[in-house]
Amino acid sequence: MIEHKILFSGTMGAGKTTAIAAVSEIGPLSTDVRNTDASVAKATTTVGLDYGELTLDNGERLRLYGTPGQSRFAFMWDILARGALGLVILIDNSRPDPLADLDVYLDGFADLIGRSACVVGIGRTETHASPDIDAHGRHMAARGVVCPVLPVDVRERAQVLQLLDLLLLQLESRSLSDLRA
Amino acid sequence: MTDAATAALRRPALGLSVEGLAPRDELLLKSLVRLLDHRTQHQWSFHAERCDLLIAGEGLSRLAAVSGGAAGDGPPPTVLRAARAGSGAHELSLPLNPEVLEQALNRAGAAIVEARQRAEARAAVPILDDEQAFQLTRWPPSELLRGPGRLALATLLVSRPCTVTQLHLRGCAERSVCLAFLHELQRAELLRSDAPRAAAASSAPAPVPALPGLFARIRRRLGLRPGLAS
Repeated sequence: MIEHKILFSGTMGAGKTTAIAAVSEIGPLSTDVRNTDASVAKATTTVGLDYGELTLDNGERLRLYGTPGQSRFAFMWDILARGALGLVILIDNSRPDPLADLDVYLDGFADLIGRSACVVGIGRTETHASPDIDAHGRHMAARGVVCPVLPVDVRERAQVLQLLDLLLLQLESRSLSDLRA
Repeated sequence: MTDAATAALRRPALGLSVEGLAPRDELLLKSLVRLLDHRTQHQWSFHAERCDLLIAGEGLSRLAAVSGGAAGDGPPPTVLRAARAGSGAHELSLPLNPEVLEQALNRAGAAIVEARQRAEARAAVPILDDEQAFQLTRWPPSELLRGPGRLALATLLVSRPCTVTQLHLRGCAERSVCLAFLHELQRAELLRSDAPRAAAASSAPAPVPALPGLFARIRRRLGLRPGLAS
């Protein structure tokens, strides 16, 4: 069976598990434990990874992996990124320094971003407007990264689908251009 | 993609020069820059002549010429003045502190890259026909993305340069809508242009190979509108 994968990464509490659950055809498998980080208001957190999947109409399988958010698990990111179609980065704007958080994932997945496609979703902008979306866009450009960045509420399936739509659009555009090159 | 290409994508390369610092401070600065190389957001290397950032000690003779923008072929470098009581945005306090230096380099690097991108966008040619392909220099501000289909049009300009016709066909938007959007992006200095051949043979890294029709199958499974390759 041919398998493909898309990664969801981002800060702890940004909603990777929820985003995968919104589109997966199976209940997402998570390796959650009780959260001991008092700075993040959630009962459990993912220390391994989240997993969801979709079966395509020809039997191929699309695997959706949520990477552990904490940078101490960065060694797993390289392994998960191998052969991935693209990356969805989710940032929690209510954290103390969302732009520094963004840097962690731009650095950690630089190779994947360079060779495939990336889209960035910023969560909790309705309660934490700063830094705004434009600040995130400017920050990425200063790092040499240009990709879609938009506010997202991962509890809304339509918004998760929009992220995936933009990810696929980049992949299709690259694919078409390269075919004609 | 090579490791070097990955590194270049991750961190824009910038030139750094030091003048007018005490030999001890200069030596320490150069050592710290090398030590911080794995942490800074830009890849700094020392170029005495072609530098983007000049760290200037007190009593620097070249500073007047630099500030006046008189010397050199390229744009004058950004100047970061190193001083005992330096604390401003364009100052670096002595004695050197690694964290402060890292922050100052990141700040200066971000400003230099942004200025470069603005200059590239200013140099862009007018959008008249399909002789030119365009690509975004950064993701546009929200106000430019209001309007039907603009999110998709902007996304198409992210990964590869696009001509007006390519944008029209791939974005499923009227040609006039695409043209108006490109004009707005150009006015906001967010576009750079490439010749059509360059658009096809872009130096951007090759994507992950995908099987024919894969993206269309994923779209169908997710219930998304048909994409480009369908």
